[in-house]
Amino acid sequence: MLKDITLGQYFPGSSPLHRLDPRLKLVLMIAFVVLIFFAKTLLSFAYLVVLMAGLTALSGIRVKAILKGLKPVIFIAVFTAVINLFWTTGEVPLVSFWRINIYPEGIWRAVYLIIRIMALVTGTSLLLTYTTTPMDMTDALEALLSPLKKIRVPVHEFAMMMTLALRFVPTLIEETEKIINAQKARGADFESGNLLRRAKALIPILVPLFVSSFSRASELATAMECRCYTGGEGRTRMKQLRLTGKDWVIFLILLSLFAAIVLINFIPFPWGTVL
Amino acid sequence: MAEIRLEDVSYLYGADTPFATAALSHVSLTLGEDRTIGVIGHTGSGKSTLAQLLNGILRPTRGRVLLDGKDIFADPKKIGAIRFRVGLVFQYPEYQLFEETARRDIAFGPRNMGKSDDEIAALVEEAARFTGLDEKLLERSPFELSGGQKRRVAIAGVLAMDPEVLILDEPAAGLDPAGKQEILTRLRAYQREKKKTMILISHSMEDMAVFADEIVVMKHGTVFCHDTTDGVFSDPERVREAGLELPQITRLMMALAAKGVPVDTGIHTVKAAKACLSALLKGGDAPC
Ligand SMILES: Nc1ncnc2c1ncn2[C@@H]1O[C@H](COP(=O)(O)OP(=O)(O)O)[C@@H](O)[C@H]1O
Ligand SMILES: [Mg+2]
Repeated sequence: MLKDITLGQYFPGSSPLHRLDPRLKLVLMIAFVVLIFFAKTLLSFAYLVVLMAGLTALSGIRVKAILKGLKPVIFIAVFTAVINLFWTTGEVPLVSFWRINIYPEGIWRAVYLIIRIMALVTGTSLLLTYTTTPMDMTDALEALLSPLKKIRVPVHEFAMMMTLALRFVPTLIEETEKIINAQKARGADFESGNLLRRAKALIPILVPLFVSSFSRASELATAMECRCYTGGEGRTRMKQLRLTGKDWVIFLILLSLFAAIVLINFIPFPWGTVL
Repeated sequence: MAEIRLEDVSYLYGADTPFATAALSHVSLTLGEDRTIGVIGHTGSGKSTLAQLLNGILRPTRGRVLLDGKDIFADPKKIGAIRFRVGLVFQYPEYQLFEETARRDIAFGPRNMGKSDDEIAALVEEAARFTGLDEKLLERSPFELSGGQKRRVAIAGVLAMDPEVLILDEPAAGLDPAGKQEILTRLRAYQREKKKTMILISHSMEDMAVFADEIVVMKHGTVFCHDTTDGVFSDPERVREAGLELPQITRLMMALAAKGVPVDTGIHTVKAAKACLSALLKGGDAPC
């Protein structure tokens, strides 16, 4: 049951998006997030939808999986859309009852908001979490932030901490499950009683979990020291990130496609423009 | 004192995900009373899954588990009561210790059963005696004990519930040879004295040969064979077919037999081998 919780789930694959250098993916993602907010006209939002469909096709990930990933944000998207629907004012109300006026601008704004939120989630997931392993992601982050080392920010150490944390999430989940089962076998009851009783019932799980996490951490530290780990200074990598011509080509194509959002705004279109 | 029966039990992990793996398929078994039953098989053959099905930690995907003829999931709300009757010691059980003293940790199970303080004290006392934990040790923090001692405290924690059936998943894993011998000897003595049903999971044929009355050999999530210990070792080919090593002493007997010494190749304990060989040396040439 605990295993159902997925954290930044990665879908294994070998699509062009999977193979793109993670550093470029990170840059693309930032560019994408910024450019989404430039969309203003109906055409540019339509283009955004097409772009999402294109990215999905490029990633080779099943549409069903992507829609499932959107589920948690549907509520937020609909909620903000409804608020905008009622609170946006324009010139001529479309419908008017009691004290509520709905203007065409409100409808457009609501639709755009939904598209924008959906595009934000799908785009960032497709560009990063779905197609990049957590290890690649931290490597990319370290590489992009490495200039900060000049001003003594411990970039490598942060990246290593992140890598280790991500690495141990599944282990910790598995261990928690095991301890829960072992205490259940001794008759522990986690489901009945008032709040205080339930909180107390967690002690037999939390104490062993803390003890083993700490001992694992110290064993890991010892093992790392035994292999002469002394931090980022002078450390080389087995998997060197290398930019190839192909990476640049895909990067530039995607970047221009994203940038096209801004240009499409200038195409005149009779309706649907909101300021 | 109790019999467990599995009727065509299958178990899938992650049954409704794309990653479903069949850990057990179509297992039917009768694990009788008042004996030690060894369950043996390679890593991944489904031994731990089987153990967790027997006390309702896992619920069969298909089939039923019967305790004294009654489906343990007849009333899913009462599964807690089944867990007191079928005690399960997980693999590496020392990870479950959490109390301030070993004594309090052992008392966790009986306390959950709602026993009175006097009863709990008596149960803890008995469990400590069977696992060889002395008075002084019981007052110490479980986290200060040695690996072997922790293991014994954890096992005592399940023994203290006085279950009718006791299942132990690799109770000797990771212990040194002396510690391993001691724990298995003590468990065997407990089973004999209390006439319990004990299910001992292991991947070591050496241990099974000495401590089990019956052996269940698991292979790829199915029961490869289920026979008395003597029966299993009378057919070394079958053991090899299951991908398991014969005990060293059996291999020695087979080597002697190949050289023409009239010994029984089904011998699987050092004790029996010693009796056989000393009889031969004393001059009898009758086969033994
Ligand atoms: N929690 C789990 N989730 C998914 N698969 C599991 C889990 N536990 C065990 N398995 C799988 O079930 C099979 C049987 O495992 P297990 O019962 O642990 O075998 P054994 O104890 O004999 O080593 C293995 O293929 C294993 O990978
Ligand atoms: Mg196992």
